[in-house]
Amino acid sequence: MGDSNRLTLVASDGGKFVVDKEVVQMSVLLKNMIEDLGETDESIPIPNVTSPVLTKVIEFCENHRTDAARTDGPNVDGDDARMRTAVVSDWDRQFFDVDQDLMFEIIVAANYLDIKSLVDVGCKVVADMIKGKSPQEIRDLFDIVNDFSPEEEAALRKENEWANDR
Amino acid sequence: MLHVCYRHTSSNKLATNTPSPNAGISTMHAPPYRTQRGSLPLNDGGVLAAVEKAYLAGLDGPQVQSWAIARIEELLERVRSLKSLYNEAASINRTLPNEILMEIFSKLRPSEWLGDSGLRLAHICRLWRRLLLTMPEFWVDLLAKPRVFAAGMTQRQGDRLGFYLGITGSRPITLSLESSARRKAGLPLRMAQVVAPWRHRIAALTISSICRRDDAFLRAFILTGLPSLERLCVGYGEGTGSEKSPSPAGSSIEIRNRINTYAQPTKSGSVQAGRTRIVAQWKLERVGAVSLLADLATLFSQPFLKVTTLQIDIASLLSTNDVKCSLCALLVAFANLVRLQVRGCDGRRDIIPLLKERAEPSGDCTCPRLEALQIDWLCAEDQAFKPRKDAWGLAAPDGEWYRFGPAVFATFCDIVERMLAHRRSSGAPLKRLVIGVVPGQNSLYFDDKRWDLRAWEISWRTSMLSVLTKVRNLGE
Repeated sequence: MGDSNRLTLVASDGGKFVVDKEVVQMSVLLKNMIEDLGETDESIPIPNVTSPVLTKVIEFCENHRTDAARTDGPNVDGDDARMRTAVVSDWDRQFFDVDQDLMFEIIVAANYLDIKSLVDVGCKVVADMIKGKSPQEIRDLFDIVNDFSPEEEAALRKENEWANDR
Repeated sequence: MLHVCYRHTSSNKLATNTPSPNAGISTMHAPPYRTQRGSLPLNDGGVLAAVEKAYLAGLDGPQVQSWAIARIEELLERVRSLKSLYNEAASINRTLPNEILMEIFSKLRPSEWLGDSGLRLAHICRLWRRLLLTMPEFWVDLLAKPRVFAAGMTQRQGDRLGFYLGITGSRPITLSLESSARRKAGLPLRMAQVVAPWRHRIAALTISSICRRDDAFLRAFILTGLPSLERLCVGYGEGTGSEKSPSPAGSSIEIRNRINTYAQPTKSGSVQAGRTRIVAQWKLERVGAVSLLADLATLFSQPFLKVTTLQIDIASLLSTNDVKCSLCALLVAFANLVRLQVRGCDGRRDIIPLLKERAEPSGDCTCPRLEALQIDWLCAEDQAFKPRKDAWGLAAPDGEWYRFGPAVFATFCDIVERMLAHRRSSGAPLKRLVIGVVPGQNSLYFDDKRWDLRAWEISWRTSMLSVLTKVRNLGE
């Protein structure tokens, strides 16, 4: 009989991860699965998530396991709360300091596992990467090319003038 | 061997179809290229397939050109399609589902971070543009950015506004407009026309720094109806409308300094004490604001029952019957207010008595749903009380400045307390009260858990004493 407070997640490539239930429950998907399964020693397969991505997801959940309790206070509203949620913490920024492929895979995994806070932080980090850059810089950053037709380009030129105007 | 009737160049580009000397002579029954002197083999640079060459052999010059142009278009379109395919395969587009990309775009909050340059996000690639144009909330947010307009609204500004409005779907719209006060020209009437088709979706409207010239705009814009309007802010004069009041911090009282936003405070001079500016208010000549307030009351004479938040910033400074009557008319028009902020006039004389009265003919409290009130107390303007010049143990620099003595303040507290008690007993209790104390520019916060006006009084005195000590030190 294993530890009832821990369970095993199995990544798509077969990698196994033994994790605290409390940590796993940051995922709404897994939380519901655990509730449906009840007490069990069976491991839970995560078919859409590879081991490297699952490692990062678990790292995030372990670091943020107490967040819910911290944000349940009575004064989380208004501008202060908005500012708080708009800012990405140093830890989170460091967490996402990975190559783009892994970063996007983490966000997709978080979306699949329904870990709202991880999706949220991931989207903010990508949004921060976009801020302050010109269209060409953004294309270069994400390896995108200009695929507009000449007719579309004409419309974009007009919109560009709007963007420059006060 | 394939012959064509036009010359080829060394660079393999198709040359202009130059008429041959024999053009039009005996060509009725034979393909023209076969009858022309100087017909040259088609130099296709090896790009044509055999079947294409065979096909082109049966065509005349213009037909070959038409075929070539169509082929070029086809290839260009193919190139564009391949570029789009390349973009689809880019890590960000291939890995992230569209809804996550859209979530990222929404995190950019264009009104705060991007401004109108947010438009350029729709210029990255076709996919991003398609997604952004199906995100009304992105454009609603961009539209909410405060915009300054001069009287001569440019065609470009009008087109841009129309473009944003056109892609806001069915979402409620927030508009924040500011007159170009420096030019004192007023808001452009054309803007009212541009916005007209979407007027029924305007839920929040801020018009700041308006001047008398804006009457025409206001009439054109407001009187024709804003059926969804829930929040209205009208500011008069310079530097108003942009300052956000801080939120209460949960306890009953919080005192914060606010930076005075008047651009040209007074002719008689002002003193700086830390970040707090004390202004000799009575030197400001803003009598015009009173009639403007009356104009506003006329404008809003019809009921606006959906409006739950009203913010008026009039910088009237003079408490007259006209001000009181105008405010009374406004409170009748906006009978369902939940939040009311009136800055720049004497709250004690102009607002608090109104909120004690019963509205005709229902007999209900004025604005019975009102929960949060923010008003100013223009203590320096107060002529009804003559406290000692040395009320704070200080000598006033010009004998006129310090009229806020303990008696004045205690009376003010009494008046507020009576109003609160009256509304409570009438079943329309206030839940939050914020009083901006001018000229100190302190804001005092209350909530209904602790209506402890005496504690507030002590806190305020401590705060003002600190300011006045700094003033005295500056004087020395």
